[in-house]
Amino acid sequence: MRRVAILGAGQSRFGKRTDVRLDELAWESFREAMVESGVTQRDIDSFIVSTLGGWSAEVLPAVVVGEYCGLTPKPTMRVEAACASGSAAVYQAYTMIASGHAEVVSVIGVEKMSESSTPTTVELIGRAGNYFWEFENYGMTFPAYYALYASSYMNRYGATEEDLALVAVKNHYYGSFNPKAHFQRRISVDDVMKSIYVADPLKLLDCSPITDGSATVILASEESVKKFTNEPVWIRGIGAASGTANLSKRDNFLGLEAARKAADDAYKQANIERPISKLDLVEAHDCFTIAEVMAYEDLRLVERGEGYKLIKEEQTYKGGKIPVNLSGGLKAKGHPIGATGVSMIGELSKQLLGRIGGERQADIKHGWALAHNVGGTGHYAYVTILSLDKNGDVL
Amino acid sequence: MQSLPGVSVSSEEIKKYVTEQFEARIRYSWTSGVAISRFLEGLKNKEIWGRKCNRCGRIVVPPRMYCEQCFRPNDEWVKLKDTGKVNTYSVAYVNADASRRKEPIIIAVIEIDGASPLMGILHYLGEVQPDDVRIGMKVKAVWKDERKGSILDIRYFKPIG
Repeated sequence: MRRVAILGAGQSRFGKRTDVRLDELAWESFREAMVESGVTQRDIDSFIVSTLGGWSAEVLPAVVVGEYCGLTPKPTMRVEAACASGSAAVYQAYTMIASGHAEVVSVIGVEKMSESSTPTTVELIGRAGNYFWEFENYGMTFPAYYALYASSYMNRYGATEEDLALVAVKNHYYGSFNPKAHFQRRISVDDVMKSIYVADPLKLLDCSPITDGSATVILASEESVKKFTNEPVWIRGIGAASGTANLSKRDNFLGLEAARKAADDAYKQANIERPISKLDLVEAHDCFTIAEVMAYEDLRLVERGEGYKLIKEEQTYKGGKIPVNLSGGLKAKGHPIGATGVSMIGELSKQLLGRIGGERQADIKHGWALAHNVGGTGHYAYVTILSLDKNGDVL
Repeated sequence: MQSLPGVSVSSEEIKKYVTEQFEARIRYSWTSGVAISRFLEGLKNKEIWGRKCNRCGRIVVPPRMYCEQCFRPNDEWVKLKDTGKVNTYSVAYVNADASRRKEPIIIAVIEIDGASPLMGILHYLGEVQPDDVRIGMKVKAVWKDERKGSILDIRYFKPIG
């Protein structure tokens, strides 16, 4: 297998983007990634588009994006793995390059959720899982699915709603420094506690928003990297796993087993034994506050039951043991489904190269970062590990 | 069917089983974006507008704000003619839901005069019999009296000269 690097990354402004169409939105991130990487359309062998869709009018988003971005007639496909679609698309591009099938592949994640009304979108997300056994009869929503995990976690480990709120407070804090974030306003624990219950114990401010946005990364083989950049970021591990469609068939509701398995696979590939002392930062899938707390544990940053203490001690802020979601996370940066995973990986590549700057720039001591991207309620999980170093360790 | 393994099931037999039904109620609000919004505004005034890139010289319609070939924002709005020629066409006898039409519609790709080659939009052809349509035929827009910024402010294109 050949080594694969990230040449450049881009992200559109996230938010309610009624000012642009799906293809124009995709172009915003594609253009930034192309400029950063120095790649032209001629250099690209294939482009993979990640979109969940259903709420947006285009049925074939890949070719719509391809035409607008000047990528026709390069081969393409849409990749879907629910909220982990973006990471799945990166995984697809990675395997194409690692196997020798392609040299340079562009991954474009884009989602235009505001083309449907909020009730429609909420209903469509609610169907993700097992339609008949979970949605048809009960009308479950996504907050309700994650609330099942929150209730179980709090009951077992003694975490409180205030503890979960701290995740939202942190992510909004970093979102306030991110000009591309959906929400750029700081909030307090009190704000979270006073927000309305969506699905007890989760309140409105425990939830990530419905967002429009796009993100692009451009990947290349080891052989092609030097044609374009002296500052590649290497993909050193991609772990992936799936979970049962029915929540009721999960072993427990304290963590996401798929995420744990994906993490262990990725750590093995990257030869990482003690992640908290090797990773400079993490982008975690905080679709709900409880999801970030479970991610701390699924990623083995701490032991089971210790996750909520990590945020309580502010150890996932910059300067703490392991900064998480300095982008603002899904909670504040926003969660345009198909773009989210691509955005995480692109953001981390810029972080490792010191290109974020300001309050959000992590201290890069080891040159390693991790993206944790979950689809559905643990239906899909992808963990991608990035490094400044191609083979061994930096520093 | 005889040669295939397994047991064939008729649609009557399927009705013996309990089925759940749901109706998808989806109403998309599709934004036109910057370039197409301006294009649609132009139609109110019986005008077709394209965008020109001063580097490669292409004039594109439908318009877009960036040149994907030169990789830069394009430069100016250009008013095109409301005439063009038929690139290809079809005579359609079914509606969007596959129901049969009494009278067919003629739909064509029309290259708009004043834009770069192969820059075209789909539209209806009218005032012409299906048998008389030819590729390369010159056509002109027939505008509605009441226009609201829609592609259907052009009722159809009709053959000229």
